[in-house]
Amino acid sequence: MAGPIAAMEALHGRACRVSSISYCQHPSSGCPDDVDGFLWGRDSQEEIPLRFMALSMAEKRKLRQSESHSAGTWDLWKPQRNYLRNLGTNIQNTLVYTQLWRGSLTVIAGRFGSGIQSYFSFLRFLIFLNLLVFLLCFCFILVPTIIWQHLGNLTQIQAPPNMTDCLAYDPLQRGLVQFYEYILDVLSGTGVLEYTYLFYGYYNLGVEQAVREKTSYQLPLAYLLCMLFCQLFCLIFVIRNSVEGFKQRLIQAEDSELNYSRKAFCGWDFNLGDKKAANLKQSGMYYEFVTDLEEDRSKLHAAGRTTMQRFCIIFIRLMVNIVVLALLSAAVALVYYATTYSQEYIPGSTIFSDVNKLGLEFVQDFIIQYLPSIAIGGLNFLLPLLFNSIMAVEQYSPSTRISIMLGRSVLLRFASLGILLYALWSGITCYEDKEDCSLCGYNDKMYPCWETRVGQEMYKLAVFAFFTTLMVTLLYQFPRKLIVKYCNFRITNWWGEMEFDVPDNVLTTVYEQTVCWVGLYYCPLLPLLNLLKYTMLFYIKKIALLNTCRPATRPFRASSSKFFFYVVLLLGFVLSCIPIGYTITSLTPSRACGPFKNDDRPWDQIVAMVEAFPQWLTVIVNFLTSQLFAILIFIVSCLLISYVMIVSSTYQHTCDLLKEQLTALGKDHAFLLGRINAASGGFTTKSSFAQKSIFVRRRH
Amino acid sequence: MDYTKENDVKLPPQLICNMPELKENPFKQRIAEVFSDDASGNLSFNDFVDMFSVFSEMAPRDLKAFYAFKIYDFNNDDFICKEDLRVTLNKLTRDELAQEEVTLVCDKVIDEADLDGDEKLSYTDFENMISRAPEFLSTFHIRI
Repeated sequence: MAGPIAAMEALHGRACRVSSISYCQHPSSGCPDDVDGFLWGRDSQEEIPLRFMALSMAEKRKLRQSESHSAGTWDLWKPQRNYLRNLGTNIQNTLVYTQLWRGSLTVIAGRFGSGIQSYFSFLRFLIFLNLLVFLLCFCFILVPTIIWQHLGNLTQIQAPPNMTDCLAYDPLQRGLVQFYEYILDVLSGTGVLEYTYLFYGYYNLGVEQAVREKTSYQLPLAYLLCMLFCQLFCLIFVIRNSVEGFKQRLIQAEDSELNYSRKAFCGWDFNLGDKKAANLKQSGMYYEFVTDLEEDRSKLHAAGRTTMQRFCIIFIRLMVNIVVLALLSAAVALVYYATTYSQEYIPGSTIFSDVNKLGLEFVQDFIIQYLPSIAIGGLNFLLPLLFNSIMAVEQYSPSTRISIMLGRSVLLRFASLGILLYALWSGITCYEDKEDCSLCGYNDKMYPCWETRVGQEMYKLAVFAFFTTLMVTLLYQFPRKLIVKYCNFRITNWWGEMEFDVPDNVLTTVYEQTVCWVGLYYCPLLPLLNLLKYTMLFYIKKIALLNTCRPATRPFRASSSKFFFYVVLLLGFVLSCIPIGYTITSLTPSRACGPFKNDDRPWDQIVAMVEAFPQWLTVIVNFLTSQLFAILIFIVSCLLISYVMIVSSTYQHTCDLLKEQLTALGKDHAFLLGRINAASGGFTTKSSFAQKSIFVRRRH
Repeated sequence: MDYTKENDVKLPPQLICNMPELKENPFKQRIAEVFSDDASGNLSFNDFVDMFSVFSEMAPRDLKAFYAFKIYDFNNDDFICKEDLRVTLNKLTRDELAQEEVTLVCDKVIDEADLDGDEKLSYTDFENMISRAPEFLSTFHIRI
């Protein structure tokens, strides 16, 4: 190793040879947002810019002067290479400024920390996702429908001739309508809004009568393919954006051993210039250390339990889990009955005999229409509180506690949505009473156009969730802030202003996005609704946050939060694929409305399309969908996965070896320095450390 | 005072520590000492520029780690020992942590980051720890 000799030269004050100092291709130019930045490889050939070196200004000037004397003709070309590279960096820097809402996010991060700011970036990401999905649907479904409807050259789809009994569907005939019914219509998607572009039932126009014979735009096929493509697109978009969060999480999980050192050395944000923020940060740091020590103490305590105590704890935890499951089943049953009741209710019929006054009828209709949403909303609010109070008995460590709490909330939310869909499905496919469905394949008396009904339920869920958030902000957060500010009693001071609860808000937002994905097939304009909703929510929550909330006493770690957001989002996505997949491949479409009147299942459209392909393409597609191909793919995937696992375990092993090498290197350093000190009579210059570090980074 | 001709103009550390960027920083005195030539805290213009250059966004991780090590090494012995850690923690938490807790945390830090087993952190240990902390670049940064 040439290292020790160079070290000795450096320590005796001789400048190292500067022939390799010039500008170079530096992989990531030290950009602080680059997660990969700290995984640079550094080989000894790499050249380091002068400004990256740990020397004082005077020494850098001296080095630069000596270098410019030795510049050759090749060096004349270097400024141009620099120019291009600088241009690239400048463009990148400018693009950062064009990010939407960057100013707001910076303000939020400055006052409340990066945990809460990460929630708002997540909201922004979902807005973009919804915008893109809406644009896709708009271009491929809405625009053709609008254009050709006006041009009038689209043929209507006809239902099969032996099913004329199933065609009784007349959404436009209302008779005399009370004024409040218009309000109810807008809120629940019935009546005025039912036979519009909003819902599936409107798209019952078929094939374009084309001027050209062979190619014509088939709307039903376009509808189906667009929906499938939107799902695929969402999946790819979410995964692509979640990769960075996953990377950070993997690295962090590996190094949870460095918890305390990182907090001690990287915990203080040097950017803080405001006195209040600095005090908060110091309290935050104190709290973090205390929490970590408590966590370690509880782990020690858990490890020190006797066998008897361990059995006791396991038994208690089992009991609590059974109680939680019982509560969840009760909740789910409640939602099921609420949905069934709401579906069977006919608007206008009175339940109580003397409810004939105008206002009360409207309220009664409204409540029963919204019964599933109210049930779900109420349960999502109450049950987590119950779970929280039960958790004290289980004696988990604080971080496990948070994870389990979140897991139970996620389970609750997705279970309630799932049971709502199940209740709808059992009504539509006559799960209980097969007689009603024998004619048309679905319950045509109750649901003449069942896809629109499902779309309406999703629409109602979306609208209700938005109004709940709005009401809570207006009627709870702002009054709470006013009370705390102007009433100076001890109890109000203890109660304090509200804290922004990130996990709760994330779960609500992911739940709304899952509703949007489930409802996309039945209500193509739902992404637009979601887009507007999220935009308004961004501003409402931002204003509420900045004016009524106090910074959290428990800081939510941003580095793990991105992982959590995207995992829950992906879970919601996977769950939303199930209803759509099932609808497309197994359920009979409505005969009275929609683009698939003439088909047994929507999937038949794709089968027809494939059969219309040229021969060679049909052969390929048949092969790709055969069982043989599935088995082949499975085997190949298994091989790939085992290969990747072997490679990653080799890297892990190499990492461990390098760590040991690093230790040995450090010991060599210390030993050699000691010898040099002894040899030179104990004379060490102040800058020896600086030159030692030069040696570490420029090995030649 | 023309500082381009006379390199000798130096600002006293009190002035540096009262700058808005450094006023609320618990390590402000130490930062002034590290970037001055003679560890007294008096910064010349060159030192001043050096300081903000190191704290800027464009400075690479190695450079920041080097100076961070010097800042946290309160007794200037080229190692971060338990005493240095104790002072660091007290500054970070405004002396709110109890003494036994501080001792516990110092022991844990040494356990985690010390690779060569000498009960103190050398520059190699420190650099290795920093390389596994992605948040270092964004926290060791002053925006001007």
